[in-house]
Amino acid sequence: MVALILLTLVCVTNFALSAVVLANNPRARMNRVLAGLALLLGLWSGVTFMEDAGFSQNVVEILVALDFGLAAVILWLYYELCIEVTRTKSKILTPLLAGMAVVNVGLAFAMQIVSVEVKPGSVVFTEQPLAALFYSYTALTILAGLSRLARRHSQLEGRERAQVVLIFFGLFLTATGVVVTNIVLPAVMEETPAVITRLGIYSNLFLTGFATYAIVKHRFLNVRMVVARTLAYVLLLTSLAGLYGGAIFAVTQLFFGGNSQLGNAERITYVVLAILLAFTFQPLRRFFERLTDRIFYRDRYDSQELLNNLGRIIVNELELDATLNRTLEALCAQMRIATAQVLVYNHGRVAKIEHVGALPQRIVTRHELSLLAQPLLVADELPAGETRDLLESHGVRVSVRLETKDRFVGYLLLGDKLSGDIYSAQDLNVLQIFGQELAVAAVNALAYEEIARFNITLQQKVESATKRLKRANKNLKALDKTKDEFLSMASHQLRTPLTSIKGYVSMIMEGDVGQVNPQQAELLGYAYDSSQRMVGLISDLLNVSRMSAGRFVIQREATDMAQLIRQEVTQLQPSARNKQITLMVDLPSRPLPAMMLDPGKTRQVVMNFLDNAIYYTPRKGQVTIKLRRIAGRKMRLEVRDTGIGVPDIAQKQLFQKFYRAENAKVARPDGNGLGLFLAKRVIEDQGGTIVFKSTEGKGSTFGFELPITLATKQEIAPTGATV
Amino acid sequence: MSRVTDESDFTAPTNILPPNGKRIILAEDDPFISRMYDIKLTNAGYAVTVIANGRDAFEAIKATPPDMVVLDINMPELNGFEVVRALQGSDFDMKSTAIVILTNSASPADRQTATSLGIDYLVKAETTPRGVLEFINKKLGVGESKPEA
Repeated sequence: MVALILLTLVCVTNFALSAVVLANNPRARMNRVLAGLALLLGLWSGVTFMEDAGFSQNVVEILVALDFGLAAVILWLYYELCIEVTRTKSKILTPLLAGMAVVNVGLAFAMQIVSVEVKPGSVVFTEQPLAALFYSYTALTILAGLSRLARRHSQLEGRERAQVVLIFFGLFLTATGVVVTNIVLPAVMEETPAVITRLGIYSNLFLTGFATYAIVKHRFLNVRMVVARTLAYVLLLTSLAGLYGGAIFAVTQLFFGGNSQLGNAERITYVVLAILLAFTFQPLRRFFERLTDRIFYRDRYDSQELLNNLGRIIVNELELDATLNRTLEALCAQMRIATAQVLVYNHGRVAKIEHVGALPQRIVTRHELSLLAQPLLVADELPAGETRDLLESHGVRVSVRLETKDRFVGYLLLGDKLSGDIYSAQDLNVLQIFGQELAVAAVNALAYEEIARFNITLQQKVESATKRLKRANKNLKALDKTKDEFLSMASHQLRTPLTSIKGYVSMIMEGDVGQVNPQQAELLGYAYDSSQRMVGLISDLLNVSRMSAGRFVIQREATDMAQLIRQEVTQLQPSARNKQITLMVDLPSRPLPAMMLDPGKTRQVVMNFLDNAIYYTPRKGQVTIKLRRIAGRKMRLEVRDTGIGVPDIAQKQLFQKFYRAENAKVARPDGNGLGLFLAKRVIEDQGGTIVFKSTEGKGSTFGFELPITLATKQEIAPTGATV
Repeated sequence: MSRVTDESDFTAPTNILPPNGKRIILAEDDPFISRMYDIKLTNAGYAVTVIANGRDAFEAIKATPPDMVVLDINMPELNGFEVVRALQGSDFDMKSTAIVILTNSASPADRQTATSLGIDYLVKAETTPRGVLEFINKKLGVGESKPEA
């Protein structure tokens, strides 16, 4: 009974290992060799067990032939496994051993290694002369394999060394067990008990055990999860078998006293046991699953949660550095990866490298990079070769190629895990999904950076342009200032001689040097008008230059408006007289109080209005100047003429700088278009409004309304007599 | 200083008045301008002293205070305002003499300075010698000059 259970355990374990290894990666040679080895070991165990199970001579002969045939193949596979594990090759031994394997299989089926005779109670083996060939083949493969492992062992480090050591001991113990029990002992002893032969069978548990351990602990193959499940299943089956068998045994012994006849009670017991079995199956299964999970998944994580977490980082980060760095850190923290790097390419060049842990050696050459042109590369699953060497030499266990639908983005290269574990199927699954997300995020971040860079360039351009403009503006301002200064100086310089001309002419006209006859007076009048006009012109220019220089300031002082008007009328009386224009002055009967005004500028306005009125009024016309106090503490000045008037079309623009109506241009080609512009400004700056009415061909009324701002007595005192 | 008389070809001036006993110091560095006002004021009966720089004007005013001082602003040595300040800073009796700035500067700052010094301010280009004469007559209480013929 115990033997049967053990045999079942051996077979099941071997078959399970075989299936798992093959399912994991059917194309990898290592997997195929190990799977074949485990499968054949399982078969061989079964065959060997059945040899002395009491079958007939013919059946036993076939079984024995199978026994040795399988053994020959197993030995060859064992040698191949050693080659795979150590990644070495021998040009002589490999073909030699393969040839010997074929020969031995032939010998086995020709019954040329051992013959067998079934006797009642036992099976007798007799060695044939050619058995020596089998033994030497056995010795050669075992020694070659072990020596290969031993030699390779010293050259390897860390994880790989551990793998080799485990496989070595697994093979060594199995080989030793089999050789001793099946070859050495039968050769030494006269009559070998069957139990010893069987012990040899069990010894191959060493191989599967050690191989499994190597897989689980040292990433011998990436089959951890499947192994875990398989082990759980094996343990479950074994337990159930033990429980079930033990229960039956106990029940039969207790209640039936070894009686093999089945009664009703016995059937009921079976039913009860079956129910018990059904009930205990799930809890037991869960128990063992939990147990194995605890052993195998100490750093287990929830894929969806990790992906969500990474997705959140990607969504929240705009910049490439931060995106790569934070996702990489989160990934490594969760999967417990020691080193990782991500390379992002832009326009065929590496645009960004981010890494976690020690900075690994860069993969640079075009050829090396072309080896990585796979969506997912797992170093442990690759066949020995250039790609695998490249990955291992750079400490990369997993390479994920980052690409979007239409663009290659870069690589995600992951190193060893902190635990030394291999990357699980779950890890790889997550990495593939994450790789796609990261690729899209990287493309977006690159686009964002490009826009940001473009913005910076744009900003720099704007700044430099602004700087140039500022400089130009500064120069212009300086130039403008020079111009204003020149204008101001020139005006002042012009004023002095002009004052002389105007003064002397006026004196002659006034008879200071004797009587002037009417003809002389007329001509002197023209000279006087012209000089007076020039005074106005210079004042306008001065005011405009002050205005553009921001120095146009209203300076209020106590001003007697009526007096100011009288003086201006006196000034312009000669001009009016020359054109035989009646100049009428209409001042309020009750004198207006002194008001706070800018006398110079206000005077200029009055002069402009009067001068225009006289100029644009034909001979023998009439100009009336009228000053009144009106409602709302205001005073209103009007200068009405019977002149050419302002065309409707020109009225809106009349007060604009340099604007002149067409008829005015004809009448006075040398006008500067500044007088009305300045008048408006002067009046409005003093809180007043311009009065203007005109009908073309009939005449115009220009004037203003100003609020009456009374001067205090103190203010009147010093300038009360200002002319 | 000099009177235009009928010894020339001109017909006799129509508005020459006898001396009125008032003294005027005219500080003006432009000879054409000073001559102009000199004639006008002298014809009107004033005793006019023309001085062409600020320092000499100051000395003359201090030596024999006139009834009226007419000051240009831009002059050699001292400008018109500086003359006023110098006078104010000395033991000169400001009340006994009327002072007026007669300039071609239309600068608001200059006008402001005159106001702050408490003196009158005339712009040459904006008036005529007759306007200046009328101002002085009024200031000194001399009867209106005869209207123009």
